[in-house]
Amino acid sequence: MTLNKLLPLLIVLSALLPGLLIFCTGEQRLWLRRILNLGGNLSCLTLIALLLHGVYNSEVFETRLPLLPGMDLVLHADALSLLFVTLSGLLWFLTTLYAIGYLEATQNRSRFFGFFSLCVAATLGIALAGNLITFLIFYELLTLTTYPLVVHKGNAASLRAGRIYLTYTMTGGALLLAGVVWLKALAGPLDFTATGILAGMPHLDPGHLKVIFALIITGLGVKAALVPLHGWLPAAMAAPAPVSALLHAVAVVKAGAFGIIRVVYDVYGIEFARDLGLTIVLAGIAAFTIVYGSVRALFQDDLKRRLAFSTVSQVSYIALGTAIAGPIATIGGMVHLVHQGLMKITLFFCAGNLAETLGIHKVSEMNGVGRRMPLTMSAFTIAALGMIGLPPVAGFVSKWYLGAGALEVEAYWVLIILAASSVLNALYFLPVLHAAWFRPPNPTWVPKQSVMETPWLLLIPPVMTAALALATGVFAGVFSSPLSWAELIAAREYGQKLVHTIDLAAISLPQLGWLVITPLLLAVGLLIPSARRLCISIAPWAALPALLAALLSSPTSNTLPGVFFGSVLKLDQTSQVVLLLAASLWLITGVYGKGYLADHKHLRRYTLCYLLCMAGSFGLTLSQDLFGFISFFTLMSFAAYGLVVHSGTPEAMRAGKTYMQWVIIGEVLLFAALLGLSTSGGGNTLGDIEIGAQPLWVSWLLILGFGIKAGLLATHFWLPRAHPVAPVPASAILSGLMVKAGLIGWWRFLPLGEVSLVDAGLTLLSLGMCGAILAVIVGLTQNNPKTLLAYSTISQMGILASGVGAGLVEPKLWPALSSALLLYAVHHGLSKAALFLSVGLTPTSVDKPGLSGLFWGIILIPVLAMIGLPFTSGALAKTALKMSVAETTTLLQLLPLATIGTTLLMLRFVDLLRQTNRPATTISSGDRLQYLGYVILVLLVISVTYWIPQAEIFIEHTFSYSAVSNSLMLPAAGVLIFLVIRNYLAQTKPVPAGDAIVIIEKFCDRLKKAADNLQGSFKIDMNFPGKSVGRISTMLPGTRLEQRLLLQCQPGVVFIAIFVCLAFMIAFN
Amino acid sequence: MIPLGSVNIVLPLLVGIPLLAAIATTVVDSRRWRAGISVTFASLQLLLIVLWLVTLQHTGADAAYRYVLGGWNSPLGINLVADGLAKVLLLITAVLVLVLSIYSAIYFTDPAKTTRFWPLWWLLVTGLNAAFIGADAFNIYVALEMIGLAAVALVGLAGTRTALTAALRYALVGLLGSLCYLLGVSLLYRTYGTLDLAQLATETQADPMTAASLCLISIGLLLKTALLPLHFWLPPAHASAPAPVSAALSALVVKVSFYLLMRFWLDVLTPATTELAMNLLGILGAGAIFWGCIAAFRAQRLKLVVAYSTVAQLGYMFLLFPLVAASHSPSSITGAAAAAVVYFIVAHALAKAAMFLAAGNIQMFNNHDTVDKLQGLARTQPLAVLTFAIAGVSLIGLPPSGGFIAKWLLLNVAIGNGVWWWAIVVLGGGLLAAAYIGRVLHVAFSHPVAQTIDTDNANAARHPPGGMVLCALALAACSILLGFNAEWILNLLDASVEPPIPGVGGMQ
Amino acid sequence: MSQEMLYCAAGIALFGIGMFGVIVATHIIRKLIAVNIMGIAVFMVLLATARHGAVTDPIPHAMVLTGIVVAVAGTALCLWLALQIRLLGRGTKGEPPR
Repeated sequence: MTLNKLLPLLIVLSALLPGLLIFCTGEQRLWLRRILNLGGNLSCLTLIALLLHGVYNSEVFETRLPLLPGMDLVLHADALSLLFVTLSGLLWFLTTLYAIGYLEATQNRSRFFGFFSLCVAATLGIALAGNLITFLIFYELLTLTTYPLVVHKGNAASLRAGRIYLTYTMTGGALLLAGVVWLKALAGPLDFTATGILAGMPHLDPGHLKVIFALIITGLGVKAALVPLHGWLPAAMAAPAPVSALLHAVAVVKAGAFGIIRVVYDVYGIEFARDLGLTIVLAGIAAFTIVYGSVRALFQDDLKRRLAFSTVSQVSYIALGTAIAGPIATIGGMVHLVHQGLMKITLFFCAGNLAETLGIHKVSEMNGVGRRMPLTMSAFTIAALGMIGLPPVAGFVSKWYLGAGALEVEAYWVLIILAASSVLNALYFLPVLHAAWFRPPNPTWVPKQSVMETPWLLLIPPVMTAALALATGVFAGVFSSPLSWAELIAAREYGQKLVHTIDLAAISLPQLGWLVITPLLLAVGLLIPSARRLCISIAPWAALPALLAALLSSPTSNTLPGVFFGSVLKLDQTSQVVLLLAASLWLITGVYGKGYLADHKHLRRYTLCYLLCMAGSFGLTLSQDLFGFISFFTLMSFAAYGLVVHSGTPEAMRAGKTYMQWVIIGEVLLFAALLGLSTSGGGNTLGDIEIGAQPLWVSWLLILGFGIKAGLLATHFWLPRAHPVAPVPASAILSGLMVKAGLIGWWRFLPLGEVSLVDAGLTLLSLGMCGAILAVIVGLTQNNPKTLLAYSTISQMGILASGVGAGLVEPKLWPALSSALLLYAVHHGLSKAALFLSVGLTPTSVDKPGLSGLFWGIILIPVLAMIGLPFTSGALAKTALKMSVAETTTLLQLLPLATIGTTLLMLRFVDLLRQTNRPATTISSGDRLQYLGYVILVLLVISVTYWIPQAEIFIEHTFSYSAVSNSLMLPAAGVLIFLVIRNYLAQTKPVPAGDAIVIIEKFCDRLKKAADNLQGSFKIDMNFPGKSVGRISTMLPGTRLEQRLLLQCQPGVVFIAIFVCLAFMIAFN
Repeated sequence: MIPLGSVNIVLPLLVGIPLLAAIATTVVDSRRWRAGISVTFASLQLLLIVLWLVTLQHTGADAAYRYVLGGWNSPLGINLVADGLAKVLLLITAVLVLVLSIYSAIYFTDPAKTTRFWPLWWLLVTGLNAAFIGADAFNIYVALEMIGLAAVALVGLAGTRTALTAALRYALVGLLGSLCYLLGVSLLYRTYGTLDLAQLATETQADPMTAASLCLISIGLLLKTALLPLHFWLPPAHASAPAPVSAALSALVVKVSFYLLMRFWLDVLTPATTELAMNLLGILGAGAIFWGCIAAFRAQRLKLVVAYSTVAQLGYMFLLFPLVAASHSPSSITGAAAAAVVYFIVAHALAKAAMFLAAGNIQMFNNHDTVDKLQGLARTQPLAVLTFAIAGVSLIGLPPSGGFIAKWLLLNVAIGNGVWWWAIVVLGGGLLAAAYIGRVLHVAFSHPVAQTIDTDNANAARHPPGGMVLCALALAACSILLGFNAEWILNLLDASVEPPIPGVGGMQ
Repeated sequence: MSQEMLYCAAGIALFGIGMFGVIVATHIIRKLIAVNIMGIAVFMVLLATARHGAVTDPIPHAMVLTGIVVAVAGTALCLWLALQIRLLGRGTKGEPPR
C-alpha cells in the first residue's frame, strides 16, 4: 500500500487511536491526556493538509478494505469530502481546546475525551466514506459515540435527552439501513460517483427508487433535524457546551446534511432526482423546517434552546440548496455546510462561556453582558449577524448563492423563504444583541479576575471561529475559501468546467482599499486596552485618506479578486464628489464630536460605531460590485444603530427599535433585488451586469429597498424618530450623509439613462414630491428643532427622489439630471449637517454682543443656503435641478412650492432655536473644537458646490437674472406666509415623530395583546418530546402474562399445540 | 469417500481433546492444575482448528471432510464429517471455549465447585464438537444428550434454589426434546435403513413416515432451541447459571439444536418440508424477536435481560426458513440465507458471551444485578459497561459490528427475494433491542442515588479481577472486529452471498 | 398387522402416554417416570425396527443400549437435582438478593 491508499484511513485513525488511548489514561493524568488529544488533533490536521495538497495536484486517495463479497469499505477523498474533512478537523481542534478549558476539574474526563475523539473519528469517516455502506457504518458509529457525550452529565435532563436522542437516531438508522439495503439489492455496491450512480441505470423502477429515497432521506433527516424529525435536537441541549457545539456545528446534524448531499448528488444524481420529482419534496420540507425552526426559536428564553432551534432552521439551508437542484444553489448549500458550522460553533462556545463565567443561561439574563465579556460577545455578535445573513459575514454568502440558485431555476418561492427566515433570524438574534450591548449590566456578576474576561482556553476558540466566519465571508473569492471549493464541487457534480483563473498576486492591497481599512483598523485598535485612548483621539482623522483621495486622486479603479466574490473599488468623477462630501462630513463631525462628547460615557462604543459607519460609507461609495456594496451598506446601517441609541434614553431605545426594524426590512428587500440583478444581469460587478436587463420586480424592490434608507415617503417612518435622538454630530452624519446611501443605490442599480420605466419612475416621482410637501407640513408643527430638521431631510430627499424618478421616466434627461442631483445632494448634505451641528452649539458670552451676533451670523448661513438665496449652494443646486428637468415632467412644477416649504421650515427652525433656553457661556476647549468644525463646514457650504466639476455648466445660469429673482421671490413669499402662520404654529400640538408609524404601532400592540389572550385560552404545547419508551410496558404486561400463559397453564400444552401445528403443516404437503 | 489424509485426523482429535481434558480435570486434584490443564487444552484445540482451517484454505480441497472412526463404516461405525457450516461452528466454539475457560479459571475460586465444573465443562465441549461433526443421526443424539446433561449440571452448579429449579426444568425439557428426536430418528431408520445423514439426504422422499419423523425431530429440537413459545425454560436457566455457563449456554448450546434443525430441514429431509411449515417457523421467529425484546425490556434482573435477549436473537435465526422458502434455491444449506444466519450465529455467540460475562462482572461487583439499582455503574465499572454496550451494539445490529453484517446479509436476502416484510421484522427487532440495551445504559449512566446497598451485600461485593474484565472485553472487541471483514467467515462457509439477480425475486 | 408392526404401534402409543404424563403430572417423580416411559417407548419402536427385515439388525440394539445409559444418567441427574431442591427447603436461602 502506498501512502495514497493509506492516507484516508490514517486520517480516521488519527482521531480514533487517541480516543482509544485516552480511555486508558487515568482520570488524573491531565497532561498525558492533553498531549494525546492535541497530538491527535495536530496529526489529523497535518494529514488533512497533505490530503488537500494531494487532491489539489489531482492525486487519487482511496482506502479500500474488503467487507463483504462484492462490497468494500471504501474511504475516498474527493473535493466534497475534503470540504467536510477540513471543517471537522479544524473545528475538532478548536473544540478540544475549548473542552479542555470547559471541563477543568470535572469528573469522567477520560471518558468524555475518549468519546469525543471517537465521535470525530466517526465524522471523519462519514466525510471520507466512498460508498453508501461505508457511510452508513460511520453514520451509526456516530450515533453510538455521541450518546455518552449527550448523557455525560448524568442528571435526569441529560439522561432524558440521551433517551430521546437514541430513540430518534436509532429509528432513523433503521430506516436508512432499509433504504440502503434495498438500493444495494437493486443497484450493486453503491460507490459514490460525481454524477450519480442511479442516473446511469435506466432499467430501475422509478417507484422503488422513490420509496428508497423516502426511506434514506427520512433516515438522514433525523440527524439533519428536518421537521418533524428534529425533536431530539432541542432536548440534546442538556449536554455540556462543547458537545452541543460539536453536535450542532460539526458532527451530528452535519452528518445528516452531508448525507443528504451525498445521496442526492452522488447516488441518485441531481438531474435524475429532479426528473423523479424528488427534489421538490425535499425542498418543501427543508423550507418548512427553515421557517418552523426560526419561529420556534423566537419563543425560547433559554439561550441554548434558542440556538438549537436556530440550528434546526439553519441546517435545512443545506438541504434546501441541495434540493433546489441548480449548480449555484448547490454551491450555496455546500458552502453553508462550512459556514453554518463556523457560525454555530461560535454561538455555542459563547453560550458556554456565558454559562461558565457568569451563570447566564437565559436570554433575559443577558442584559449588558457585552460590557462584562466584550470579546465573547463580539464573537457572538459576528456569528449572530452571520446567521441572519448579513454581509460580509459568511452566512450571507450562502444565502446569496441559495437565492441566486433559486432564481436560476426560477423557484421564486425560495426567495420568500429566505427573506422570511432572515427576518425571523433577526427577530430572535437582534434582541439578544441589543440586550447584551445596550442595556445596563447586572451588578451581581463576578467581576473580572484578570485582564481576561474568562479563561483563555474558553476565549480563544470562539474568537477564532468568529474570525474565520468573518474571513470566509470577506475573502469568499480567495482560491482556498470554502466557496471556491464548493464551486469546484458543483462544477464536478454538473459535469461542467468552472475555470478558476485567480491571480494570487493580485491580492496585494490596492490603494483604494486603504480608505476603508483605515477606519476599520482604528476600530480594531479600540479593542486593545492600551491603544484605546489613542484610537479614540485620532478617530476623526481616519477620514483623512478618503479626503485626500477625493481631492487629489485622479479617477482610478482597483480590483480585489480575493475579497467578496471579486470586489471592485472604483473612484470615478461621481464617486469622487460623494467621497468628498463623505470624507469632509466625517472629519468635521468627528472633530465636532470630540468637543461635544468630551466627557460623555460610553465613548468607546460611540467611537467604534462611528468608525464602522465611516468605513461603510466610504466602502459603499467606492464599491462597484453587488457584494461589496451591500456589505458596506449593511455595515453602515447596523453600526448606525449604535449612534442612534447612544444616549440610552427610552426614547432613543424606541427610535433604535424602529430604525432596526426598517433596516432589516430594507436589507431583505435589497437582498432579493440585488440577487435578481446578479442573476438576470449575469455578473456580480457593475462592469459585468447589464443594468438595463433587470426584470421589473427588481426595479421595484430597488426603489423600495433604497427608499427606506433615503426616507422615501411611506418608508420614512424611522427617520424622524432616529435622527433627532442621536447625539448632534451623529444626527448630522445621519441626515447629511447616510440618507444619501439610498440615493447612491438608486444611482448605481436602477437603469437610469438606459431604459424608461414609466410606472416605477412616476411612482418614485410622485412619492418624492408628496413627501417633499407633506414633510414640510408635519415638520412645521414640531417644536424640537432636530425633529424639524429630520422632516426637512425627508422633504429634501423627496426632491432628490423625484429627480431620480424623472430620470427613470425620461432616460434622455439623465446625463444632465445626474449632475444636478449630485450637486443637490452635496448641497443638502453639507447644509443639513451644518444645521444639525448648529443645534449643538452654545451661544457665546452675552456680555460681548459682537460675539453673540457672530454666533447667530454663522448659524444663519446654512439656513440661507437651504432656502436657496442667491449665491449660496442652494441656489446653484436648485437652478441646476430646474434646468435639467426642463419642464418635461409636470410634477416637478411643484418645485417652487417645495422651496416655499423649505423657507417656512427654516424660519420655524430659527424661531425654535431662538426660543430654546440656552445659557450663553464662555467658550471652553470643548466648545472650541465644536466651533472649529462648524466653521469649516459653513465655509464648505458656501464654497464647495462651486468647485465641483459637474457644477460648471450650471454656474452661469445661477447668476442669470431670472434665477436670482426666482431665488429671491420664492423665499420672500415663504417669509410672508410664515409671518401669518407663526403664532398659529406656536400653539399647535406637534405631530408625533414618525407620524403614521404611531398608528401602526398602536394597532400592532392591540394585535399582540389579542394574540396573547388567544394564546392564553388555547395553549398549544408545541413541544415534541420523545415518547417515553417505558410507556410500552403498560400496554403489554411482560413476563407476568408469559408466566400465566406458559408456566402456570402447562408449558406442555403449548408444546403439544406447536407439535400438532407443525405436523399439520408438514402433512399439508 | 475421501482418502484418509493427514489433516483428517483433526476430526477425531476434536472430540478427543476435550474428552481427554475432561478426564484430566477429573483426575487432577488441584484448582490451579485443573485451570491450567483446561486453558492449555482449550488453546490446543483452538490452535488445532486454526491450523487445520489454514491448511485447508491452502490445499483448497473438498468442502466436506469425513473420517471413519476405527475403519468401521456407517451404519455400524462412527463417522465424523465437517462441511463449511460445521467448520465455522467448530471455530467459534473453540474461540469461545478458550476465552470462557480463562474466565472460568478466575471465576471459580471455590475448590469444591471447580471439582465439578471442569469435567462437566469439558464434557459439554465434547458434546458440542461431536454434535457439529457427527455424521449420523444417532451419534448426534448421544452428543445432544451429553450436552444436555452437562449443561443441566452446570446450571445446577450455582446451587441456589432458583438455579436448581431452573436446572431441573431444563433437564426435563432436554429429555423430552431428545426423546422426541430419538423417536423421529428411529422412524427414519425404520423407513430408510440408515442413520447416515449424507445417505439419508440422497434417499428421502416426501412420504408420511418421513413427514412424521421430521415433525418429531423438529419439535424436539425446537424445544431445545427454545423457539417461542417453547422458550419458557430458557430465561430462568440461562439467567441463574454461573456467568461463564450462561455465556456458553446462550452462545453455543442453543445453537447446536438450531444447527441440527438447519441440517434436517435444508439438507437431510428437504423433500418432506413444506413452505407453509417454513413460514410457520418464521412467524414464530418473528414472534420470538418481539416477545423476547419486550420481555427483556421489562426484566428486573440484568442477567434476565440478557437471557430474554437470547430468546429474541434466536428468533432471527428462524427467519432462515421463510427466507429459504422464498428464495427457491436448490442448495439451500449453502445459500445466501443460510450464510446470513450462520454469520448471525457467530456474531450473536461472541456478543452474547461478552454480554453475559459483563453481566457476571457487574453482578460480582454489586452483588446483585437488579437493573434499577445499577445507577452510576458507568463510573464505578466503566469497562463492564463498555463491554455491555459494545455487545449491545452488535445485538442491535449497528455498524461496525458482526451483528450489523449479519443483519445486512439477512436484509439483503429478504429484500433481494422480495419478501420485504421479513426486512421490517429484522429492522423492528433492532429497534426493540436498542430499547432494552438503552434502558440498561440509561441506568448505568445516571447519577448514583443514595447508597442502597445494605452492609451485608457491601461486604460481599468485590471488584472482579482484571482477567475477567479483559475476557469479556476481548469477546466484545471480537464481535466488533467481526464487522470489519465478513469475507473470511463466508469463505469458510463456501457459501455465496451474492444477492439474487434483480428481477428474479419479487422486485418487479 | 404383523407382530413387529404391533410392537411399533404400541411403542408409539406408549410414547404418547409418556408425553401426556410428562405434561400433565405435577410431581417431579411422576414426571420422571413419565419420561422413562417415553424412553422405553422409543426403545420398543427400535426393537421392533430391528426385526423389520429378514435378519435381525444389530444396530437398533446398539442404539437401545446407548439409550438406556443415557436415560439412566438423565434420570439420576434429575433425581439429584430434585433432592437438592428438597434439601434447600422452601425458603430463599442461597438466593441472590433482589
